Order: sequence, then C-alpha cells, then structure tokens
Amino acid sequence: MSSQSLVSSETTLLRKTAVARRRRNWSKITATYLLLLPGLVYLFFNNYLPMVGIVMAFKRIDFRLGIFGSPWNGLENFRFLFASGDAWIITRNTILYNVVFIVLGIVVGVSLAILMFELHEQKIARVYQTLILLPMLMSWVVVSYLVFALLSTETGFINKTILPLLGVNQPIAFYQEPKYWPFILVLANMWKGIGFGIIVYLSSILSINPEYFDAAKVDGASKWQQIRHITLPSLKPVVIIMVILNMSRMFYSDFGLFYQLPRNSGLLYDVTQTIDVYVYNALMTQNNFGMSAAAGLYQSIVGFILVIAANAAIKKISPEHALF
Amino acid sequence: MKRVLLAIAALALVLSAAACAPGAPTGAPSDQSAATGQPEKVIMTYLHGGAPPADMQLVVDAINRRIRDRINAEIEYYPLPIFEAFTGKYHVLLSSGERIDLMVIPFQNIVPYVDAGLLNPLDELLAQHAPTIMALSQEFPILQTATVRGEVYGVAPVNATYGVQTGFIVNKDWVTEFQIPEKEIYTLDEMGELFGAVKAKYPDMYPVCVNPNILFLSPFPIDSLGASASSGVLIGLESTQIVNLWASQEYEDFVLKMREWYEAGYIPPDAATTTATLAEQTNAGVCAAYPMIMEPVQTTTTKASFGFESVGMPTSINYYPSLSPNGSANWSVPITAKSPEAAVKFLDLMYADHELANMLLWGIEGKHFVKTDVEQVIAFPEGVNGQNSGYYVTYGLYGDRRYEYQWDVRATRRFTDEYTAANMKNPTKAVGYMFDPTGYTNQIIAIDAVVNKYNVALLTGSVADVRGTLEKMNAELKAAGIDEVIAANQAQFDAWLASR
Amino acid sequence: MNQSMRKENFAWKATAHIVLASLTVLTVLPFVLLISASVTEERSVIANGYSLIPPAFSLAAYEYILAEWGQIGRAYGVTVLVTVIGTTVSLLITSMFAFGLLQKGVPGLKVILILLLVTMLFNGGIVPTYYVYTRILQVRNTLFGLIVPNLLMNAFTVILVMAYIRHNVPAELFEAAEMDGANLFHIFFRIVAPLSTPILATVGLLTAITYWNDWINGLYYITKPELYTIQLLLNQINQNITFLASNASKLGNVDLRSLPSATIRMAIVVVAILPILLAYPFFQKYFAKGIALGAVKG
Repeated sequence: MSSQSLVSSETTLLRKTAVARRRRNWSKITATYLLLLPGLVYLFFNNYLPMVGIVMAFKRIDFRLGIFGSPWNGLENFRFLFASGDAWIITRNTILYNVVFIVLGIVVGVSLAILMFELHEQKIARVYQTLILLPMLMSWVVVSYLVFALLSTETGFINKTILPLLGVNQPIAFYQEPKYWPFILVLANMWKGIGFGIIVYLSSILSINPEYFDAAKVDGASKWQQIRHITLPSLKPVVIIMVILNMSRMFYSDFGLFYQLPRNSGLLYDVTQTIDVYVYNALMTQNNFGMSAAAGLYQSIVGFILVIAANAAIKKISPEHALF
Repeated sequence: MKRVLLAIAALALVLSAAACAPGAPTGAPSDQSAATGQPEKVIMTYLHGGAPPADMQLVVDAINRRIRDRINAEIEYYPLPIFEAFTGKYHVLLSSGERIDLMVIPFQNIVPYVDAGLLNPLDELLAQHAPTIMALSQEFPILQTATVRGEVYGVAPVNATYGVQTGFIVNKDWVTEFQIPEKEIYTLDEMGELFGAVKAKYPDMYPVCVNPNILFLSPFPIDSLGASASSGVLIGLESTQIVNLWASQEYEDFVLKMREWYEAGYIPPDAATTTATLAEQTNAGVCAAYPMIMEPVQTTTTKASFGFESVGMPTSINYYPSLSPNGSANWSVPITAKSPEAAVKFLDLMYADHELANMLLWGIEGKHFVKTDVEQVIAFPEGVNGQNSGYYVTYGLYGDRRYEYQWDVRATRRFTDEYTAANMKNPTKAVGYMFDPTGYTNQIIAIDAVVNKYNVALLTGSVADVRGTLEKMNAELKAAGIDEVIAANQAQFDAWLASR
Repeated sequence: MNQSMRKENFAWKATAHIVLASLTVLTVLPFVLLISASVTEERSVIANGYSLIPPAFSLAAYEYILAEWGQIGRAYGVTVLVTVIGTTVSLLITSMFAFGLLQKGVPGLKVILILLLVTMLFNGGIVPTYYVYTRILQVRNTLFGLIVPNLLMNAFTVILVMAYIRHNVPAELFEAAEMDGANLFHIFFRIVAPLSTPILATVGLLTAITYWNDWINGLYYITKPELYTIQLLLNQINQNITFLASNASKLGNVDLRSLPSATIRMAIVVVAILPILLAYPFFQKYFAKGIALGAVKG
C-alpha cells in the first residue's frame, strides 16, 4: 500500500528521468553513429561480407558448384596440418618465438622509450627517433640479401672479416647450422620492429603531466623512483593493450621473417619453420583453398581463445584496463 | 591544422571518386555473337615477364586479321605476369567469375585445378573442333599430362624435344685447354677430373655453378611416373619396381660424389642458399660450367647470356621417361569461358598454322623479327634489339613447337629431331602412365615438406654427414607415409601395365 | 636541484646517449650496406659479397633506373598519391571510430567493439575478399583498389587510439563541453584530436609506412602497368628473375642477361625507400605533446 505507492512513485520518477535522458541523448547517439559510420561500412565490405568464406575450411571446394554449393567434408581440410611429424615443431616454433618477441618487445621497447624520454628535449632525439624507425621501411626480401651478405660462408662479413679477427679460421656455415638461428631471428625481428614500439611507449610517456615529475623532484625522488612510481604505472594501460592484442596473433608469424631470412634453407626448418611458412610450402603446389582456409581458421580460433583468456585474466587483476 | 586535415580528406575523397573509373566490367554478358554473325570473342591468357609488351595490341590486331574469317572469332589478350600463374591467381580470378576462354597452365600439375572444378572437360570439344590436335595426339603425348581420371582437361604444346639426357654445359675453352676427348657419355669421375684440373689451374674459381635453382641432375635414368619423385620413381630403363629415390643406392652414391666435389672446392660453398642467379655467378667469373639437360638449344645461348662458348658433356644415356607435368604447359578452357567452341577452334589453329603460332610468340614479321636465309632461323630487324623491341621475352608455349622460329640454327628441327629420336629409342617402362594422387594429398604434402628440408642441401654437397642425413631423411619420409604412397602407385601402375 | 641529482641526471643522459647512439648505428648500418651495394660494380658484388665501402665503384645501376625512368617515375607518383590519400583518410576514419566507441550512454557500442575485435581474429581469405572487391565494388585498376582493401582501418590501431584517448584525455573535458551543448563532432575535432596528436602521429606514421610498403593490393587488383606502385614493381622484378632463373631451361628463349642484376635491384630498393623518409620529420613534429593540459584545467 504505502510501499506500493512509494515504489510506483519512484518508478515514475525514474521513468521520467529516463525519458528525459533518452531525449537528451538522441542527438548524441546519432552523432556517435555518424562518427562510426565510415568505419562500419568499411568493416562490412572488407571483413564481414568476405567472412562467409570461412565455410571453405569445411568444404571440398568445387568452383563449378560455387562456394556454397560445394559439399561439406568435415575436418578433412585440417588434416594436413597434423599429418607430418612436424606439426608439433611448427606449433612450438610459432608460440615460442611469439612469446619471446612479446616479452622482449615490451622490456626493450619500454626501456628504450624511457631513455629516449630523457633526451626528448634535445634535438638529437629527433635524429635517433627517425633513424631507429628506418628498418621498418625495408622488406624482408631485401633484408635477407643483406643478412646473406653478413652470414654467407664464402663472402660474408662475419666469416671473412670478424672471425679471422677473433682468431677463428674455419668459416661457419650459418645457413646449415640451426643452432644460431633462434638468436638471428630474434635479433632481426627486434631490429625491424623496435622503432615502432619505442614510439608508441614514448608518446604515452610524453603525455604524463610534467607536474608529477616536478613534484617528485621537489620531494627529492631519484630517477629510479620516478620511473617506478610515475612512468611505469602510466605505461601500464598501453602495455596491457599490446599484450592482449599480441595474444590474438599467437599462432601467426611474420612470413617474410621466417621464410625469406633463412633463405628457405631446408636444414634450418626445425628452428625456422612456423605455421605460416609450413602452410605456404604445403599449399604452393596444391592451391587448395579449402585447406588454406582451414589453416587460417585454425590460427584464428587459437588466437580468439587466447584473447578471451588474456582479457579475463586482466579483468581479475586490474579491471579498468581490460579491453571489454 | 584540423581545417587543413579536413580539406585534405575532402580532396582525397573527391580525387578517389574521380580516379574510380571502373575497370573492365567483369562478368561480361553471354556471347551472342554466334547468333548475330559477329566474330566470337576468345579471351586468352597471355603470359609476360612483368609488364605487357608495348606492341601487344598491334600483334593482336594482326592475328585477328589473319584468323577472323577462318574461324569467325577474334582473340583478346588477358595479360598476366608468368609467375602469377603459380600463385593461385587463377583460382582467385576464376572463382570470382572473371571471364577467360582459353588459359595456359604452365609447368605445374593440372590435377588441383581439375579437383577444384575450374576446368571444362575437352573430349567432345576436341573431337568436334580440333582435328589437328587429335591427329597429333596419336604421335605425341600432348594430351597425356592433362588426362585426369580418363577425361582430357588440357592440351600441351608439341615439344621441340622429348626425352632426357643429362650432363653439363661446360666452357669450351676448358675442353680445349685440358684436351678432353669427345665422348658419348662421360662418367662423373671423368667430370671430376676435369673440374680438378680447372681448380688446380684457377684456384679462385669454383668450377661448377650450382644454386637453389640449378641443381645436379642424376646420371642414371629416373622416371617419376607422371608426378614428382615424392610418390616414388623407377630407376633404370628396365625396372617396373617403384622405389623411394632417397633410399636407393644410386642416390646415395650420387650425393656422396657431390660431397666429394664440395670438399674439393669444385662447388661454391654457398650453393645451397646463395641469392645469385646462374647469370650472375658466371658473369662474375666464379664458375663456368653447370648441370643441364643436353638439349641442342642449351649451348646456343651461353655466349649471349654468360659470355662464353660452351659444349655439352653428357653424363647419362638418352632416354624417354613418362612425361612430367612440371616440364610442360597445358592449354585449358576454364569454367568461366563464354565461347568454348571458338576457343578450341583457335587452339587447334595454333597447331595447324605454324605462322600463327610464331606470330603469337615473336610478333609481326618485319617489325619484330625478320627471316634469314637459314630455314627456321630469324633475327632482329635493323635497329631492333632485345631491349627496345616492342614484343620480346615472350614464352614459348604455342602449338607445334618444332616449327618455332629460332635465333640460332642449332636450335632448329634438324638438331632437335635428332635429339628426340635418340631419346625415344630408350623408353622406360612407364611411358604413357600418370599417377593419380587422389586420396594421398596429405601424405604427399608431408613428404614434400621432408624433401624440401634436405634436398637442396644434399644435392649441392653442403651436408657434411651425408649418410647420417640420409638416414634421418628416410626416417622422416617413412613417418610421412612414403611407403603407403609408393604402394598405391605400384598398384595403379601394375594395373595399367596389365591392361596393355 | 642538488649535487647528487645533477650527477644522476648526467649519468642517465649519458647512458641514454650511448645506448641510443649505438642502436642507431646498428639500424643504419644495413642501409649503408644497401647504398654501397647499389653503387658497386656487379662482378665485385657476386665474387666478393657486399661491403661497407664499395671496392669497385659503378653507377651502372642508377643509369639503368634513369633509362627506365618512365616506368619507375610513374610508379613513384602512384605510390605517393596512394600513401597520402590513404594515410589521411585512414587516420580520419580510425580516430573517428575510436572516439565514437568511447562515448558513454550510447547503446550498442560494446557489440561494435566486439565486432571490431572479431575482425582482428577471423578472416575470410583472399577468395571471398577478391570477389567482394572486384564483383561487388568494382575496384579493379582503380586507386580505390590500392587504398581500401585491408588497409583503410584496422582494429589494432583503433584500439591503440582508444586506449590513448581514454587514459590521456580527461573525461571531464568533453563532459564539460557536452554540458555546454557542444555537439560531438565539435568536441572531437576541436578538443580531443588536438590533444591526441602524439598517438595520431604515431598511427599516422605507421599507416603511411604500411601504405608505402604494400604490394599485395597491387598484386590482386591492378593489371594496368600505369597503376603499379613502386613496391609492386620491385616485387614483380624480383619474382620474374627468380622464376626465370629456375625455369630458363624449359622456356628456352630467354636472354638472362637482360634481367636486372643484383645491384640494380638494390638501387631500386634505395630509390623506393627515399621518399618515405621525408614523411618522418612531418610526423615527428606531432609526437611531442600538444596543448598543455594545465591551461585547460584552470
């Protein structure tokens, strides 16, 4: 009775505010969707319309019948990924390299960004920034020529110049010895990508309010303390985003790096072949689009699971940084 | 600043809209020209080396003038860089409905295209509209590599040569300098002696050029049974027993010898991974011999390409194995064709009219080439050369290639017929047979993966422990299922043998 | 600032210089090698490998490029056009999308975010994509075909921009503007964008480089040589050489000497890299923070 009326009057009040809020927000909603419109149109045509092609992974494609008319063949297209004894090796390679790349990318990227910040008021910083980004311009094909110039048995810089300097007279046949390649590949990837990481982290550091640093200096904080208490925490959101986003790429790899750089030398496959390289080699002669769709789907699903897991984990630790 | 950005963006959108002049509309309407009496259009693929030649349209017009009245059809080129014919581009084009009436599938197995339903079977069309091809197919295996499960899906050109003889192309100066007697066949040891002599005299050279694209060829007859070595081979002319090449004694002896040569310094140390091409290696003076098939034409190009006159030194007998799909091209009619009959008629014309085939290949007589006094030999007209010709560097895939004009007399029929005849005297037991790999695709992919791992390294002598590597390789091959595939191949082969 | 702090500052700055300078040398070295190779005599490169200082100097590679300038120059033009237009439009669309997704009180945004993330993970592959672009959108042999497919917007950069705005542009700023009745576009262009210049410059540079380097769109959607980009041209040349090198015996009629050699390929790479270097200083101006936040807070 009285509580009923209280409830009803409350509800009426809520409803009135809600109506008022909704009315107020229509223009905002329209404006927001207008902002989103170009992107949405693009996503529709570029990503979602073609996404129906994922069914090719489960079909024995006969173009005479078209993609949709072709018969289903269950998981048959996925078999080739696991048929060779290498299935475990290529998966292991892909995952391990990605983990190393992510960890090193963050540690080295953040460290260098902090160092770069130290100098950011000086003109020389611009020079460093420009030059460190240069490697992004080179394609892996060209880099593979240059690395060959470095590592070639006969004419390579290391074998001809450096090793004799160190007193070693027997040249190392780099392209036949798998044991050097994890280092070579990690270094090469670092070299090419670090510039971008630095810029991303640097732009985050640059937007920290300088008042924080001034206050800290007044309080007598050392550089280390400033970094630990101001810089690093402010980088947390960006780093977390980078980790989560990279999780989605866990089963993918930079094709140019793993295929071109080792010059597709078969003896190195055990340490250089990733899933993408394997699929490429396997399907070069087969041209089977059902199988390549299956390979892509395999990589996508694993990435999907990992992103969800990573995001859930982050939600538990610091919920405001989770993606969704 | 924002205003500038906005202005740029607006300009960008306007420019892009303007630049968005639609390309040739895909999915052309059904060809109704037959009904109206207009010549039918045949869109055929034309493979070039990166950019279509400048005079392409001129040549097409000339060809159309020639054929229009004979088959009531005109051709239109669909230019493609040749390496795109390998990247799955055909699949992408055809699956999106791009109209192509006649297409060439070069140097690859046609089975994946057939399995993907991209090609039309040609048996009826050929019987009705291609008398020349049908006649030629009795003599030459031009339908063999494209016959899948009993149906014909493509037609290969008649090769100028059939059969194989392996050996080395060697700098002529060395042969005279070291007084190598002329022989029918040289053993590998004799070749080794020659290379040793060269190395002794010129210690900075590595006499034999090999690189990932130019590998040693076996001196013993091998037949891959219409597929690749991954599904088993026959070794020797008399054999009907399909074996694993990499487990065979002959192969082991062969790669051990290659390793000897590597250690003796006859092979460049980077052979397995070098970025240099054959031309680059020879031009730099690093080497002046390379393994190659002993076709007569091979010795004619070395002076221009590499700067030295050469002789062929055979290391195997002449023999005639079953045709490999990787060694030829096939002309097919894809499912998006709108004028299949006209296409097949034109295809037949390529074989019947040798002038036409030569036009497709070399362009217009008088403008891009002139005939010389020597039969079948042509040369550049005044002032034209390989760099400035409007129609050069095209690929020899048309019609009856025995009648192709050549630039050097040693590549003409007199010599090629002789070579082919010598080869055809020694057929293997599998001539005419092609393995059907259906159902074993996964194993073959796995086997190929293992082969790619070890093949180049072994064949360039780059592996120190040959025996150990071969053991490892064969263990992995077994795990990939090579024995199953060979058993299946043998079963099919035995059945085929029995049916003859 | 006291004595120990000054010493510490110096130590840090010194370390920074040493580390960054050595890193810079390491990144620049391969470029020096590249340039050196392009002006070395061909024979020397094959016989002796690449070296920092050319043992035998030769400009033959660049002469070849000048001779072929018609094709190469035109490819330049196309690439520059595509990069400029593409980067601008992409930045606009991406940042608008990111800002839109951050709005509160608008229904359906979470769904759209998920839809965006899904595109990062799942892909239909080239066959259906090609079909959509050539049959439905008809972009073959148009600039659209070079600018739009797969490059115009991607989830990674949207999320980066979103994260930056969320954590570096105080919500109070635009809430205040909203209260004052400003519309969203106004807020975006006049308040948020200027404050986000560091991330926009970062993303802009990355996008520009991606456009400059891309040859896949050209591979699938361009058949007219007039619309080749410089990377596509380089890629065609390399592929052609590799193909001919491995198949010359089957084709028979190819003059291998007429193919661009190693040094020419290096020279084309040098020529292909130079213009994008001009983009760097352009974007770098904006890396530094924009308007001081302090002024707005007051």
